[in-house]
Amino acid sequence: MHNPTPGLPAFDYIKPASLREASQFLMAHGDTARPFMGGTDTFVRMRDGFWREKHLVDVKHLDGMNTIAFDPEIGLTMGAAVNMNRVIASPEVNAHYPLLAQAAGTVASYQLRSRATIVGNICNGSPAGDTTGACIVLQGLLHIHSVDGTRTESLDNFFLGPGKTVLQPGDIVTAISFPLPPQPWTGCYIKLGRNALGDLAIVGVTALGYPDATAKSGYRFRLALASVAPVPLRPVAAETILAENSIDENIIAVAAQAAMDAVTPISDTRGSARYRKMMVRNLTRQAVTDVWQKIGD
Amino acid sequence: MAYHNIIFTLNGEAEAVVVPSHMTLLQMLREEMVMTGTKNGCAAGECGACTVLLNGEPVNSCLVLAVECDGQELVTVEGLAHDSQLDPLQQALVEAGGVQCGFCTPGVLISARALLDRNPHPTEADVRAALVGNLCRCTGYVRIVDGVLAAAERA
Amino acid sequence: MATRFFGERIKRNEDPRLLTGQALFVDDVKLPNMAHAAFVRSPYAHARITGIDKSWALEQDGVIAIYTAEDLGDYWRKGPLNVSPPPVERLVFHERTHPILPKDTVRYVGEPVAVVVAENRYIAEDALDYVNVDYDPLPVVTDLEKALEPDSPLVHEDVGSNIAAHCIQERVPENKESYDGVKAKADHVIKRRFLYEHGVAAAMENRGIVADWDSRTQRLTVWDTTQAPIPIRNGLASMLDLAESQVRVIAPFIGGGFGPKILMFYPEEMLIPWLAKQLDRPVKWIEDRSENFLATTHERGQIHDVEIAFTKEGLILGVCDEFLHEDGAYNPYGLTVPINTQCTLLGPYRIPVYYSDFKALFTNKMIVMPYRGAGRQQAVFVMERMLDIAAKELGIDKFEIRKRNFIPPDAFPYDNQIIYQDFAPLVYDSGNYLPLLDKAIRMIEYDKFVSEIQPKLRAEGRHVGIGVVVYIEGTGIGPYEGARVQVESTGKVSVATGIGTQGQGHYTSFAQIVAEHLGVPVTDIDVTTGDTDLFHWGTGTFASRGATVAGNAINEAAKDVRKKILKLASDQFEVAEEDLELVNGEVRVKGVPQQAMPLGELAAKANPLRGAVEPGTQPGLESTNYFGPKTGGTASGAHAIILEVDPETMSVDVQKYVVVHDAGRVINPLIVDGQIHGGVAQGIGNAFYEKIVYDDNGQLLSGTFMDYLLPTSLDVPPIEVGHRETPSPLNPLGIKGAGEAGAIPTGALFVQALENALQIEGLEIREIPLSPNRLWELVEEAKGSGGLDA
Repeated sequence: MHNPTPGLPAFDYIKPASLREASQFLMAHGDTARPFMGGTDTFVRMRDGFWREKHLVDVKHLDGMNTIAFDPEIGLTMGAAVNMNRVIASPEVNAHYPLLAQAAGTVASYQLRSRATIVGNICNGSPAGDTTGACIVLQGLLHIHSVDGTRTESLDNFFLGPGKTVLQPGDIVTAISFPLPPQPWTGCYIKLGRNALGDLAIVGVTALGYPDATAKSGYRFRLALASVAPVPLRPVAAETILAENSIDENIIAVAAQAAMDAVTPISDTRGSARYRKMMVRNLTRQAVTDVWQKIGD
Repeated sequence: MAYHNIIFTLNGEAEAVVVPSHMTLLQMLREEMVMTGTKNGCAAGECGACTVLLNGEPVNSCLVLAVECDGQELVTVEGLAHDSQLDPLQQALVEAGGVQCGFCTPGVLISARALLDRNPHPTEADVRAALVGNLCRCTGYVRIVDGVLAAAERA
Repeated sequence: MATRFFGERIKRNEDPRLLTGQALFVDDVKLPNMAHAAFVRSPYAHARITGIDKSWALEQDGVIAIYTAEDLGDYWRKGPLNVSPPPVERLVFHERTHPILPKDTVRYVGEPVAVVVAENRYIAEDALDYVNVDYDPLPVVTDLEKALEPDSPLVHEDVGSNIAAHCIQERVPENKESYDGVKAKADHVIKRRFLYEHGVAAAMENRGIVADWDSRTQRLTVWDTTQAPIPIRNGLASMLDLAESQVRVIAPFIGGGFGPKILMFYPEEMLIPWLAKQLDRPVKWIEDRSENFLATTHERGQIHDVEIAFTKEGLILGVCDEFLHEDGAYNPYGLTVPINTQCTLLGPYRIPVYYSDFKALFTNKMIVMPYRGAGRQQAVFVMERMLDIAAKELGIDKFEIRKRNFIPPDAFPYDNQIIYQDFAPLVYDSGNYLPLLDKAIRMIEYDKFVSEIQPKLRAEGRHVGIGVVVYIEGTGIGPYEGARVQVESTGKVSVATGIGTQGQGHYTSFAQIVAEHLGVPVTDIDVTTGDTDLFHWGTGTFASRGATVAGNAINEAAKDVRKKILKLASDQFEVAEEDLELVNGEVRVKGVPQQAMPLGELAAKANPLRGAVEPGTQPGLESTNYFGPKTGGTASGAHAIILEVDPETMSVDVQKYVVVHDAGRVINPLIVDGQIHGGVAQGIGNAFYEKIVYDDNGQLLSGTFMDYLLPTSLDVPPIEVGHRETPSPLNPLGIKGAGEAGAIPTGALFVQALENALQIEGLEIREIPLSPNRLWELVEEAKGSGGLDA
């Protein structure tokens, strides 16, 4: 038990004038500095004593961090600092990537969504993030600024463990971009919490499906699971079953079973490991069925 | 420890304050500015008692740094009434019986005000979803929801 | 024709201040030169303290002083026993109240071990990390049944076991047989084990104290989030060697009480005022949310092994209940909670023979004390579940079996012949239970649901269920409360009473009582509660007694003031008292509206500055009166629910909730309904969302709102409330308490409806709280599938 404090521990607030300045500062200060945007995760962890950086670098005002732009040839680019409420309300997101808006809508509360960001959740490496699965199945690409210039990282190998990602000191994610998804596609996110809204996910299942002539079944599914492994998980075996076999209720159940077999959840106050496994099965079945009913005719 | 001179508007008035980096907006309001209408319920963004409007959007002030408010617009519960006349939302909440101990009330009013500003004709489901981040232990939300819907009808 | 106030849905006087952020709560108190306190708390559930080193912490800038048990010298003490054990014959009781700060042993995680005072709260909190406490961990006991085992670690060595109390109450009618005899002759005996865990109050406002010792005037002023300002004031005076009149305790606006804020005294409450005196500076302490979860009292679990003997028509012949109750590390509140359970189990039913035996056990966890319902929900769960089970096993309709066992309306007052929490025999004053059940059944549209709606939804694969349960609630107990009512020369009426207010609308409901007698608009009546300078006799707000007991005292005082008004006015106008009326703040001659005098003017005449007064006259239009009921009224009700269960996840959606409530005559229906709504929400939380979790080392795992889920606006449905009134003969207003009712039967109700929704053979739910996970486990067990399914 740590002694609780009502306020935050002392640190310096840094507001750099440019991305270059920001990356340089972060690089120079190593693990005594951390970038932040909405702060909803950062401040709670600092208050509880889990994060102890002496410098918090506010990056949400920097170039490109707040734009939402859709290019019909390329796809969607969303600044890292765009908060979840903006995502939910964005016409571009709703028109072309409604799954993102749907997933964002399951997060916490209006007040928290005014500050929380999709990219922030990704950078914190939480396996429980509600929007991360949507970003994975939509093949989100992170745009990163560092002292060495800019680069992109796909989400496929981005997560290393709970709270751990491939980001290095000096890295600032400036945007996430999504390619045009294969048309026509449908996706859904099913979140199981202990209550109607507000709980962290006990289990979260994201499913995206689209017709694909190169698949034996004629369809491909991309699945992502939250809160049931040390990282957001893609149950590849389940995806393969759906690609290789003619899709019906039975195959969906088999795929759901494979998803269940892929996960290694823990038991905590929210749910037992066994319940989580069963729910992965049930909710994967539901999510895939939902998507199948829309794309399968 | 770094200090910052910040300027912002609070309930329509310009303010200038010096704050240390790690002071939260909630602390600044309650301790530096003695605006005690906004409450501290959990200091972790879970109860909503500290909700204020930052540039028109409800935020948990316990999870916003004071220094982040430089150049911004803040509205707290003290800014809702005009010359000690309750505004229609406050009035509707009173008439519906939506106040018991009153501790969650400032946060509820702010969230509800923002809801009605962005959606003047919410359904009951809209109201409930908008208030999910404002915990109340006294009312069971029944009359809070009634009050907000009544305010929407009047406007 | 005078306006009616009593019984009207009048808007609350106090709301404008609450709505504009102007209302003062304890954390809003800010005094010049105020220091702040923070507490070093034990990280161990059970340990010896082998040393405390304050030196490093004292070196920190801004730290003023640090105190441990040793530093308190003569002031060191244990908290008082708040409630003595009741006069039950077969009773063993081991009083072990909590120390102000432990000298050598800590007994629960979060127990305060030292207090740091600093220039501001942040320095105080930071300094906690610099206080070095050496602990020698001891074995921990957290489980109720294990606590009884002979080789269990002992929370209090000197007790020799973990049994804090053992209490047996039995009711055997004269010349009749005891339970064993009755059981032998019964057609059907049902025996079951039930597990009920209640939760924490989690009021939105955390606890806090500000104490200010003024050495010039030699007065101590304390702002405290307490439900009992007068006993706190008297206790502090005694502890600090002051006259009671030197101490003022103010409970200003309080952000929710629900029970835990009534403990007299929390360690912090004994310390902060003393510190203010020692340091000659005002001292403030405000609890943090995580401290609230750890170190503000809980209500936790009971395990019941109950047996009921029935005739084949479902009539109860006798009940035998043995239960274990968890006290936590100390027992300052005596036996209130388990006695409430013991008594409430009888419910609205005729139970000829009753044998109830409980053991209250010490464990290495936070102290258990009343939280809204205070032991009654456990009892209602047991009885209502047993009746559901009996109905099934005997093939009788579940409402029919209840109706057959109800105490009939002509049997009141009904003496249950056992002792209640107020030390008096448990006698129900009035009640009429059948109409409550019938009304709830009608309001939830039970028949239509089961014959039309449910089958249709079932056919669509949806699992909707319905439930209806009944309960009684002992309320309005003594010992007494008092009030002073005064018409001031401005014409406004001031009312003062000793109890506190935590959202119940006392400022308004009490004004209504006065308005009824004095004809003054409610908005011109100023009520003060919870300030010992304004009224210093009474106990506090708890056990659903505020409106009943203080309300009746106010009623008596208002009646006396009315008499004084009429007498004086009669002299002034030279007319008979019967020819006068009180309307709209004036006294006037009936039928002659121009012969009127504003009450303020009359009050001035009652306080002359010159001339002589008749011997025996009392000045002003003022009266102070007290009310002490011999025993409390028994409220009752029926709750009904419709809910839907998602069979894939076992998530629950509550769709409809109905309460039919009988609290005797009602002062303000707006306020009573509000109390019921809030109680129901807490009941829903208790049934399905809230669970206190300690691990085997006594570490609290459910210490934030993320882990311990309070119901949100999306979890509580609209709630319909119907009323019935069986006035109480125990007080002139005929009122009974209503504060806890909403929270009491929800667990029993939920479970009945869940079983009805799931319709799974072999599913018999005998525990609370549930959750999607737990419900799913119970369903799997009932279906007989162990191990991972395919």
